[in-house]
Amino acid sequence: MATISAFDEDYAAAMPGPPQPATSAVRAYQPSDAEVRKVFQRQPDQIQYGARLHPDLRIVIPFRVLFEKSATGVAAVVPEVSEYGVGASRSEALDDLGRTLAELYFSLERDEHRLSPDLASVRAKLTAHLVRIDR
Amino acid sequence: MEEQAAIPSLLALLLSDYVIVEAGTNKKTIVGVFDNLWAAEVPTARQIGLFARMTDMEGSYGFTIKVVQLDADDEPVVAGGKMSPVNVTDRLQTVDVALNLPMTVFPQFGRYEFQLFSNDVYLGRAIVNVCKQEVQA
Repeated sequence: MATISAFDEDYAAAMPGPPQPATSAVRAYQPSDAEVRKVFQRQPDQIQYGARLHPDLRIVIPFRVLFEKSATGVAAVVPEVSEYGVGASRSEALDDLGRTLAELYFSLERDEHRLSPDLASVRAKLTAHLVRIDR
Repeated sequence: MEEQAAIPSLLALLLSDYVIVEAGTNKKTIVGVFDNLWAAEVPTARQIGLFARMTDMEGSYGFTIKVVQLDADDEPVVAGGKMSPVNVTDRLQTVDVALNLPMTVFPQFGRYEFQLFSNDVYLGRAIVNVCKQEVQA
């Protein structure tokens, strides 16, 4: 068993606005302006998604997911298979997307022998990313 | 072309007061697992222990932690860091990340996520709510 117990690069905590007195019992780390600029940043508009979708499925190649604002919050979109998930935050949208992709995988697998060419193409793309776990 | 490392299966991701790694046996003790933090005022700073266990790995892995403020526009990253790469050869082996993070500053009340990435691939998250503690007169 391997254990990682230290950061290679300094763990930097950023605080927007001017430094303010710490209110907890412990003294707060006060980052410099440069550290704030380095770390206090917007998240990227896309992500490589490799979280577990379903107990029976494993991602072998991560999905490229784009984030877009939606009426209810955030949409996480996989352009490759034209599927999306929505949620109040990016992570909730990713959770919803994961469920959607898993359901799509199983439904296409079930109907594998009677898929239209378009759906067969979607299934081929999904199976490039996902494999079933043998039990 | 260099072969891409297998994507890890994340078995656990926990936030706690601190994590103790026993020398020799490499056993971990995770003290005070929580998902709510209480503070009278913000910003507040806390030391946090983070524990993650993964398996199904083969290749070289660099891990990143990002702390994201959920209740703010564009979900800014308020803290984060990278770990040294680790090589894994046995797919059945488990790999633990056991960190006592330096002070993390939470600028406002609300929800924050500790996100774990492996080779820039998102693996999962743990959520913490920073709640207002009413001060008794």
